[in-house]
Amino acid sequence: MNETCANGQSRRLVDARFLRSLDAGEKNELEVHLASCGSCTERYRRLQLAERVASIGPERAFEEPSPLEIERIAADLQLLETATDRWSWLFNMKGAFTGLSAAVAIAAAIALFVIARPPQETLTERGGVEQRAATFSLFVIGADGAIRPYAEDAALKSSELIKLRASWSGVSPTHVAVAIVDASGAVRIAQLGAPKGAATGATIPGAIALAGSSAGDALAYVIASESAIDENMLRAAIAVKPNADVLRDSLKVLAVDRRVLHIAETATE
Amino acid sequence: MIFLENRELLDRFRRGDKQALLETYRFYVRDVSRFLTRGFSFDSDGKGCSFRGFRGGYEIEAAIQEVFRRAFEERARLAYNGIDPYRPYLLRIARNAVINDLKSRHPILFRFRVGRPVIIETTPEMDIDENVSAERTPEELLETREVSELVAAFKAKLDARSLDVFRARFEEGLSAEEAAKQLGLTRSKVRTSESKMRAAFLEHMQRSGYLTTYKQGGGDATRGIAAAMIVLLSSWSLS
Repeated sequence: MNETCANGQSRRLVDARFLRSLDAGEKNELEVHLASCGSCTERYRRLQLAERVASIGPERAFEEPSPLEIERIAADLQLLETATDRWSWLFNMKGAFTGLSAAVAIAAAIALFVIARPPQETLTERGGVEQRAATFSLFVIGADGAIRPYAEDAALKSSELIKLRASWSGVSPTHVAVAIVDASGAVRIAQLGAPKGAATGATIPGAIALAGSSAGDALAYVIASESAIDENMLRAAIAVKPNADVLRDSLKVLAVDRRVLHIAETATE
Repeated sequence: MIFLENRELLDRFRRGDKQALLETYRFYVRDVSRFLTRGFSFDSDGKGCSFRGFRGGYEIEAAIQEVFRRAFEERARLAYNGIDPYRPYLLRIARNAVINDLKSRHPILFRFRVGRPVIIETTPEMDIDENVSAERTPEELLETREVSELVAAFKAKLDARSLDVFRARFEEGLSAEEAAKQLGLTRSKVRTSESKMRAAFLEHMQRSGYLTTYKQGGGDATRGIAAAMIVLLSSWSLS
């Protein structure tokens, strides 16, 4: 069977969608591919139609989803626990085994499974945790140039700018990006410079302008990475307004911080 | 109508209880799918317009997901008054999601078009709430007939247990646990049988040629989106 599509890319995820649960990263990768590949979107349509005809018959197949499709969408909405969710605590431990040999790491994983305790707690007791985290403080630069800390409930004006300061441990981000999805769904992305300063915290060069954003609640994602962040992949990933953990895993970056910005009024352009 | 008959469910729904959201989703998902597939009429800047509906594929799944994601946001849950029927409220969310996306410079729902552009037609005066029933083209009817024959050929080759699992999971939509209970099997056996069957079904459809050689259609999704934007920008005044 030819495993690549007309664009020379793998059809693996298109087929996998109908065979098993996809994790968040795989689903994002699939969406990014389908948004640009007519050959695979057509294959997906045919597989979906075949599944529907097999399940609910040809008369209803054009308008109604099949039971398995209903289940898939429910999982996408995070209303169902998938097989991937059930084992995610085990898969997420890979960063915590720094300094241990592979054999000891496997034994520790089995021991944790048997003990059935939250793995993070156990690893902390054993001193084996490498804390990897990055957090951000937001500051607002007013139209008059005055700087103030951003308060969660405060309303922002679109004439203002957002400035970031990052703190981190166990990681060294070299790239920081900010993506804002405003109330109308419009996306803007700013790639900021590498943080400069102390080993555990620094001000991020540059600032993010809010001009042009629709009034209402906007979602701001601050992404720290060890490599350049693919803007197209980021744009596709945040279109569905994922939570921070899902975005971090799907982009395979160091850390993601998600905030809600209340934009009170729009400036005329 | 589930909320009118079950106030306890409504309370849990308003609180964002996941089981309540799941129950609501399962009750209304087919209605939303039919609505999005059939399309609808709407008014834009005084002009009557008609959206022809989604045509299947990933775009309809993404659209259904987006509608329920919006409907299950806290603001939307609390804005529902609990007295009027929920279905029209939900379909209004679906309608607004589509109309807003049609006007957006960065569409979300129409990223996955299968070649054909989004067609917005100005129509003679129509009832603004009318949900137009989308007619099937002869090609679409022929395609479903072909697929039906392929499916029948696949099912004819299944052994008795596989057929039981097929009916329980594919047709009745039972969970693996429910199917296991009904069939007197372990959940693990149901899962294994289903997994093999899904792979065999995919292989069957691939070997039949349906997935690759049946009807050269589809086209380039990016061209489809570009064409959609041209249709929209030329016929609308974006406010």
